[in-house]
Amino acid sequence: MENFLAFQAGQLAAAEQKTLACNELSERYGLRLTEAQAHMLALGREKALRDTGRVEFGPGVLPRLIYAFCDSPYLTRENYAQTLAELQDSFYYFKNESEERISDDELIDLMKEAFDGFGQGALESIATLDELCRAARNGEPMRANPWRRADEDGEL
Amino acid sequence: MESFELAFAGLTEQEQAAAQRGLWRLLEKQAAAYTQGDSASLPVETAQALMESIIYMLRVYLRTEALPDRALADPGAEALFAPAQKRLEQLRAQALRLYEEARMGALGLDNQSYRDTLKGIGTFFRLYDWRTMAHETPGDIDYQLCLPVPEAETGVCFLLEYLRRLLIENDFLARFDPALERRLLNRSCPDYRGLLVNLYEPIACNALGLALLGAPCRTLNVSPQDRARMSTIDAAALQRAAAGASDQLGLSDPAARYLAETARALAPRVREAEGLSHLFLSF
Repeated sequence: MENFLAFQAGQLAAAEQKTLACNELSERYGLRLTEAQAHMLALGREKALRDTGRVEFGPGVLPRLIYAFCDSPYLTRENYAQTLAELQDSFYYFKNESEERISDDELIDLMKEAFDGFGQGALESIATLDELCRAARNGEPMRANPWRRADEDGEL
Repeated sequence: MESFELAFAGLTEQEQAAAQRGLWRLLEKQAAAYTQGDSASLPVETAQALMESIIYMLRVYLRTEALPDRALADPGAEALFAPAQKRLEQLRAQALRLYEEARMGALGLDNQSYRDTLKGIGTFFRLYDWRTMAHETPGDIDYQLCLPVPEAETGVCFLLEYLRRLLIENDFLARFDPALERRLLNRSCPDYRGLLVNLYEPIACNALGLALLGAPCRTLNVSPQDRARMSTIDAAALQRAAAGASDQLGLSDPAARYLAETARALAPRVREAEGLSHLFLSF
């Protein structure tokens, strides 16, 4: 395990650079990370991976989270970095909870749908993915939007 | 990395660093292959298993090509990996051929564990992920060989060696009258059909005993009078017996070597036995 942690630590600088490169896209939505925030997020990634017992290759999931979430109407300059930090933590947590049965892209899509959808920007909405992860672990088919309720005609 | 450092302890610090960099890059590629690109992160246990598989493949390649460990630094682990994978694929194909040979060769004796093991080996081929988990040995391979494959051996190399030994034992057993073998096995273990027992060993033992006396091995029966004629049985005498039995039965290497090794393993049991009636059986 220690060798993998050392490997992760060695990726810190590269991860920060990749994160900062995402500003080129996020700036179109008025969102930008400072170097200090990128560093905080890189450290947060390292801790989240250690806490969840995971190892990650390449720039990590953060750039993909940024690309997915930067157009969210619920992200502001004030909450941008902290929200990304929590989304990053949640991502690794749910990867474990799903026992690898949900792909990265699917999970990011689901998180975005919850956050922008019924969650209306509340990070607590992401917690509903626990149910999906349980279903995935049990080999049950995943409904695209488990939190949608049927309308009066019984249609989702 | 504990497993790497232990596996390639002869490298200099510089060579270790170069090799490790190559291994990490390989691990990244293998992780992508394992997850089919669906996941950029993995549980550490899975990553460790992938790394073990990489090291296993490279070790097998270095061994079969008689290359020194420093080849991992120069030309480097990445340069060696594709040929290492190809070598593993070849070994798997070789094991499959030996398995077919074992399946097609009719063993004139019945043993549940033997039959289950042949099925278990079939499971190995269905489940063995030689590309990303080459070090694992799936399937139940429980039939006990007279000379077990060393425990350190795993994956396809274990199976190859297991099948080689199994075929040697089967070939030996095929040189005797099955009816006589059944009588001897009944004497050795009345429930030999149902228990986890090796069929080769009691047959080989009696063959060695008869060869010790210069008697024909194929009769298989060591009478009480025969045992009374046995004088000092030491390791050297057993080796001479192995050579004699091999001559009688027309065995050449590796079967002759296997019998000699069986004789070597028998020597301490003869030394410690109180009487020979439990080793050289009458029926």
